[in-house]
Amino acid sequence: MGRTARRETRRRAPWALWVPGAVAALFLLLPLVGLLVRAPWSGLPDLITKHSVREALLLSLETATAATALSLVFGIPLAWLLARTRFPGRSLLRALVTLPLVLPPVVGGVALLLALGRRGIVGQRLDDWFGITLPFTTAGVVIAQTFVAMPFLVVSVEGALNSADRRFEDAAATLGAGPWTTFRRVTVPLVAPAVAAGAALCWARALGEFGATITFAGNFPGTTTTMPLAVYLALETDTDAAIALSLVLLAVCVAVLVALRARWFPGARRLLRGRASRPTPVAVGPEGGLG
Amino acid sequence: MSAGTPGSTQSDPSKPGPEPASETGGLDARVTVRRGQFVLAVDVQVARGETVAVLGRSGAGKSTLLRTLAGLLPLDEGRITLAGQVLDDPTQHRFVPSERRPVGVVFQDYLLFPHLRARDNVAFGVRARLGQGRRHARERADSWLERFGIGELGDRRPGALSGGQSQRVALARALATEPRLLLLDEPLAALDTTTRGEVRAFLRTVLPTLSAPVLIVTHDPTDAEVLADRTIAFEGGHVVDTAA
Repeated sequence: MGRTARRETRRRAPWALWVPGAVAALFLLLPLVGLLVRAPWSGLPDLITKHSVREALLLSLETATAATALSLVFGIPLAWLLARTRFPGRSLLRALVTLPLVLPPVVGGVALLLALGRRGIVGQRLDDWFGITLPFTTAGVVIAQTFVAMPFLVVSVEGALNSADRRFEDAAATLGAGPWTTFRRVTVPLVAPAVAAGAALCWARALGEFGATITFAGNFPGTTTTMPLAVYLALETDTDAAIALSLVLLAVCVAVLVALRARWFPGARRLLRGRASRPTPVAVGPEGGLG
Repeated sequence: MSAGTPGSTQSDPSKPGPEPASETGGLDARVTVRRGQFVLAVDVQVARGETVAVLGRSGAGKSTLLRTLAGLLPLDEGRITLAGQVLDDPTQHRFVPSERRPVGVVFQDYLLFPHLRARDNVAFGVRARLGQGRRHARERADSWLERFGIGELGDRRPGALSGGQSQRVALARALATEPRLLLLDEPLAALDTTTRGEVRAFLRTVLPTLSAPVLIVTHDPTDAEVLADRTIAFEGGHVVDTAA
């Protein structure tokens, strides 16, 4: 292969690369094409204006936005702590924080139930002392989505903080800015693109979240049935409705991708596409089987 | 920061005397910092109104000295006193952090905040150090830019400024915090030859008007010669030569 690469001009890729590459591209695009081909276009307006669909879409948009807001408020400080301070167990904490990225979401949901459920170690106290119950509520949906999506923000922001030029923070200090002012007025603005990218990934991940949500928050129309749950539910009774719902999610995700402009974070596009395809029946299937 | 006649007013306080420089508003620093094999051990005194150049090749410990004075690096041994105030003394467990030191720094590549306009870069320190409100800080910033002949550039972001303009904004930003010590780290190194001459001439007119002591770190003997009243030569962490 090395010999081939040397002989080839730049424009001609070796067949050993472009053939599997093309297969991969087809594989990624084909399901989406299938979705578009099978879509019940004539009945679409009726399907997506149904009350239950509007309800699920609104709930999804609201909870995903709330989960993103929570992730920003708590995730940026966590990313800062991981990137800027030294404390024992920091490496371990970093590894644990990113665990939800690879953990099957349904396992996350079970873990959330054990921690925040009515009989959970924290949930019991919440119930006894404050009368707060999280499982099977809209707040529970937000918690489940935040659990799964926040690591995307933390990883993105921590990476940017590590590669940011620390000397700007030195400069701020010599100008009389304490650590908090420096964080607010220098550090965060400098990593703003990474914050935006992380927030977008986080939002997309929260929007597509299925396994943790159905495990921890259940599937109650109006309170916990988000779009991915509605897709899964519809697939068992009404395929056309499932396709229509999937199209709506696809459209939302494409809109996000376009709004994000690839130049901000070319690397993030791949991740986003992976997450965007999750709400389609193909990706939901195995998770549903687990739940 | 009172304007004086260059040359005449500044030579008086800089004449060597038994009194420590810090008593009369100057800098008195005995600095020892260890970094593995490397040891920086120097004494530096700069009187009020005096400009001293620290000359040395890269790796001589100039930047380390500057960081200790700015409060970005604590001393291992020694003592830093500025205008009668102890800023760092390990034996007394005293260390005034950077944000509470009356020290202004112009960094080598200026480090203007890229997300802020020139005006807001200058206003940043006025707000943070002097605790002024946003509007007042911006007015102050504008008057500093005006004074340095770049009043019309207040709306520009650092990316749209030339090297010489950035240098002026950086100096305005440092001076707007009313420092009692001004540190310049290689103020001309990032500039091309034409701009160098222009900025050198500019600094030569501005520095003598300052009442605070000024310390310039440079690797260029010409810059030291032209800008400073006195030069301290550094090598391998030690002073090898002092020249008036």
